[in-house]
Amino acid sequence: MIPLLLGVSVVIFALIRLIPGDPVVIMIGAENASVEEVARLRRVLGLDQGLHVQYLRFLGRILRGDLGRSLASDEPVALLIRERLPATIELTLAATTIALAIAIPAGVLAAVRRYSAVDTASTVGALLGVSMPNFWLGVMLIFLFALRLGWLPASGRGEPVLAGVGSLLVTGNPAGLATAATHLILPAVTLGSALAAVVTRLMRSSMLEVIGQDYIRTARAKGLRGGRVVLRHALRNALIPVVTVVGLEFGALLGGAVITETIFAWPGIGRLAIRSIVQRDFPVVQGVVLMIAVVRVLANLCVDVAYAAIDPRIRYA
Amino acid sequence: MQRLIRASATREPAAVAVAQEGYWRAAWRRLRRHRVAMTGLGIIAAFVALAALAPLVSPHDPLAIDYAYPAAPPGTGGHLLGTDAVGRDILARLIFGTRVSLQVGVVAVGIAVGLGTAAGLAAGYYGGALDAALMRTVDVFLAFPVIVLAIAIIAVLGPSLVNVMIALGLVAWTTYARVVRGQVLVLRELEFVQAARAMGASDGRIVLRHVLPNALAPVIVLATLGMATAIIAEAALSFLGLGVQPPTPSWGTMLNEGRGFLRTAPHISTLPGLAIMVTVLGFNFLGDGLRDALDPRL
Repeated sequence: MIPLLLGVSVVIFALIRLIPGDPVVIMIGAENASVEEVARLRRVLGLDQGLHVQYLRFLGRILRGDLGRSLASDEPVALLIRERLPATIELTLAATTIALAIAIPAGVLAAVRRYSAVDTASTVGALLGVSMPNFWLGVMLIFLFALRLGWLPASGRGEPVLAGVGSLLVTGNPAGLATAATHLILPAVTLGSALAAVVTRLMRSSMLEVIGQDYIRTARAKGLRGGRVVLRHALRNALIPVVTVVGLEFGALLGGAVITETIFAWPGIGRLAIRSIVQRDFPVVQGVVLMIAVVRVLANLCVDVAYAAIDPRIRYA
Repeated sequence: MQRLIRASATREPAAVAVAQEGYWRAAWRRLRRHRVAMTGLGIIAAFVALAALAPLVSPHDPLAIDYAYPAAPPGTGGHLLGTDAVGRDILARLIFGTRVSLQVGVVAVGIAVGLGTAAGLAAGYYGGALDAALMRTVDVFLAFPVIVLAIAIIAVLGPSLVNVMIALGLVAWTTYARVVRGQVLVLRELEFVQAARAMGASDGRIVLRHVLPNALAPVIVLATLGMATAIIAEAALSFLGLGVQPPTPSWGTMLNEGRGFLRTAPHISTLPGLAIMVTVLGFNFLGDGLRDALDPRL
């Protein structure tokens, strides 16, 4: 994992150096590029030294948690990210929860009632989910639930969910949690739709495979009821590949969050990234991309660990 | 919906070498019986025709502004699907947008297949340090979510149609590299490859004439599904303002332009989304069918 993270840091480091022409002039715009200003910024960014020196310095800085400063606001990039990361994590976790809450029952039902109307419906739904651009789904949800029906807000974030839960527990006032939930639901559904589609398909095929196994027949032969066999014996085993995919898709979800946050004006790191690209605020873009890659690598590590916990047949030496 | 017909024949790479001609013909026969795949092929053919014949079939100039009918709903003022916020014909823009989507798809997938296949062949055939280096590079690329890496590359190169194709190609090559490498690892040990080597064939000849053709089936499946991904990704980037720049009609850009008029003219955003979805469904249908027909193991 360490070599992988080093590789990631090389890519991030290389990105800013791949800008065609003089990165400094491009960053501040040709019209503002006085000789002194260019020289100053080059020194600030450390671009006046050899590449290997630049890289080692860059690596040293990020290891100390210093991601540089925003060119637009001069705030530390690490701070900008830390302020917005909880919102992104909240959105991603909510999307995962919604996706699994829909996909696991849908996939199980489709497998148990194979070739029934439920199966067809879940297969068609999954195909649409995979083929539907999630930004379009987001725009359509805003149109329907925010503009037409007026049930849910079109954009922004209410209170953080945790704060809402906290105030409900302490003061008994559910208002905070309610605004948190109403703001969260549309972006979470938008972000989670693709994952729901992928997991539904996987759950169905994984379940079908398990149901055909001998030990399921044995459980049935012992006289266990169908529901108990499905839930206790089949589902637990069928969930193993699902855990892997959910972990691997977590990274894709972070990518999707960049788009979803932009549509719903959700104050997370994805929106920060897009805004920074428009402003040519490269240190911020670098920081966010690095952050997302690191989270993704860590998520993959978690999958490996969870895998061993769920499936006792797998042991790591 | 017609259920996916599972292809009954499984194959080993060795069997292909014996009957190359028969394998592809049999695959085509299986594909033709696959109704979902044929639906997908039909959808794709229709969009390709629209793209090719755009100037002939388009009812209006996609850039022409009809000042009398801005944001007109479908069916008004001679605009079958209405007009966008500045009064440009939506049907015409959708038809011309087909060109952008397919072009990005073909070029991006082409770059990815070219890079990925070359890397996979080299890594699998030569092995050793080259293999290790290439596969570690693949791991690093896979650490970034596709859209995030594409956005980062575009942040560097600047937003434009060409840069979108480059970015999406550079992002997607890893899948092909891995799959081709896996195929080559099996193929290079097979007897017909050993035979070719014994007869004194050069590495280049062995790789291109004997290994590559037998490693192509999964690449074709993945490339078809990759078209779907590339089309969605282009639309997403254009939607974010990082792709095709106005006034060139791209489905993603059109969708984004309609966002401000959702309340009064929802069709501006709705229609391009439908176009994206139908095209992507077409490629996904065909890809699933090809998977069944070519390589049931995938």
